[in-house]
Amino acid sequence: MVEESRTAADPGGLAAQGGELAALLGRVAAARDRAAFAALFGHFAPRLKSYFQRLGAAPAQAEDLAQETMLALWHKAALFDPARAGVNTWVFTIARNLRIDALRRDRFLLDPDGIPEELAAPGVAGDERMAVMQSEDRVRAALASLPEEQALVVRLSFFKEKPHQEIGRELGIPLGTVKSRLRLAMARLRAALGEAQ
Amino acid sequence: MSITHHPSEATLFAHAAGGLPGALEAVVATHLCFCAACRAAVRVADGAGGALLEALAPAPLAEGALDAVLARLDQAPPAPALAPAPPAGVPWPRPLARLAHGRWRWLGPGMRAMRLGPPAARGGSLAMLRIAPGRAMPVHGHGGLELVCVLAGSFADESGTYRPGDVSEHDEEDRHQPVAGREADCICLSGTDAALRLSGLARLLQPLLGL
Ligand SMILES: [Zn+2]
Repeated sequence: MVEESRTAADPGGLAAQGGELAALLGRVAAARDRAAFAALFGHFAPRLKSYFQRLGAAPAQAEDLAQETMLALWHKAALFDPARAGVNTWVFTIARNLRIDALRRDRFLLDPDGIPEELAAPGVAGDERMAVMQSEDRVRAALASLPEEQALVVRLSFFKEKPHQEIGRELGIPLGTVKSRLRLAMARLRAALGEAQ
Repeated sequence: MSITHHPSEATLFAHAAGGLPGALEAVVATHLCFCAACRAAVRVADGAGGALLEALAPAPLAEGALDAVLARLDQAPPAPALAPAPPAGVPWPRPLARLAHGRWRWLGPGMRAMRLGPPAARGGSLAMLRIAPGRAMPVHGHGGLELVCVLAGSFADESGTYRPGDVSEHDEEDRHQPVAGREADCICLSGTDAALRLSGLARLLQPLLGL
């Protein structure tokens, strides 16, 4: 279920060019470059709106959250470290954390920035960046190559605000099967990234 | 410090997706502070989230959306909420910094508990537990998913010994009987999504949590 993503909203097909996105973000961070921000907005905001709607937000609320995510991108741009994560992944985590804060009704105020991040080795530059960009490509490829039954539970994990029990019920499979499919999917994704088990 | 008990991959995916109830999310975030292996797994799951976001069909924005955002770029970002002071003498992982907490309450012989987070929340119940050395907790089953992360001392049950950073994950099928290690008080963070289906540990905690 990889959906068509090259449309008029994204004429340049920036998605295919992780390096291009990272360069735009770099210009936002270094030079507060509004034109670069506008290009990132054109790429990400419609996908973010789609993401929030998928997770149950009404269109107006999804639009607001997409705008808030882009504002957060503007303010946090200097924190983006291309040696740690690809741009898509970084934007996804901002959107996810915003959604938790905005839509969660349980009022548990957790601090996601409290989890330590691995420090990139000092002096790592170009090669490492290339590796991370390629790793985003590899995750995409690995996701596309998962057996459908595994890909389905991964997608449902991200796009349904439902416990795995309910995912199992919906698919007519036991909870244990949902869990084992996610375990296998994680192992495949990690292998695709060359991560040790 | 070597971690030997981790949350399931299903739980790590749910964390990456932002789909865990708050009480469980608090325990996972605490474990991640201890565990580089699970941080690596979460980076992989985050990457899957990034790839899925990228592949979504774009939803058209309202006219003028970009201009509306451009007009707000120069406004200062909202200041983060002030964090309450953590209680003295308790290990307090950073992800918990913004959570409200109660006081230590007597729960039974050799057992005290402190509620964290909002009372009677929809996000399950979260508590810090302090169990005296060698004290057995009652056998309990679960109404949902329960995650416990050890912060100090240790406990053991049928599945092994849990030391600081280790997480035990139990779902509704399991029954287990943790016993605190003899070396020191065992302090652990316990989260369950079963606030509305009182059973097991949640039932023990019921008077404390005001459910
Ligand atoms: Zn771990």
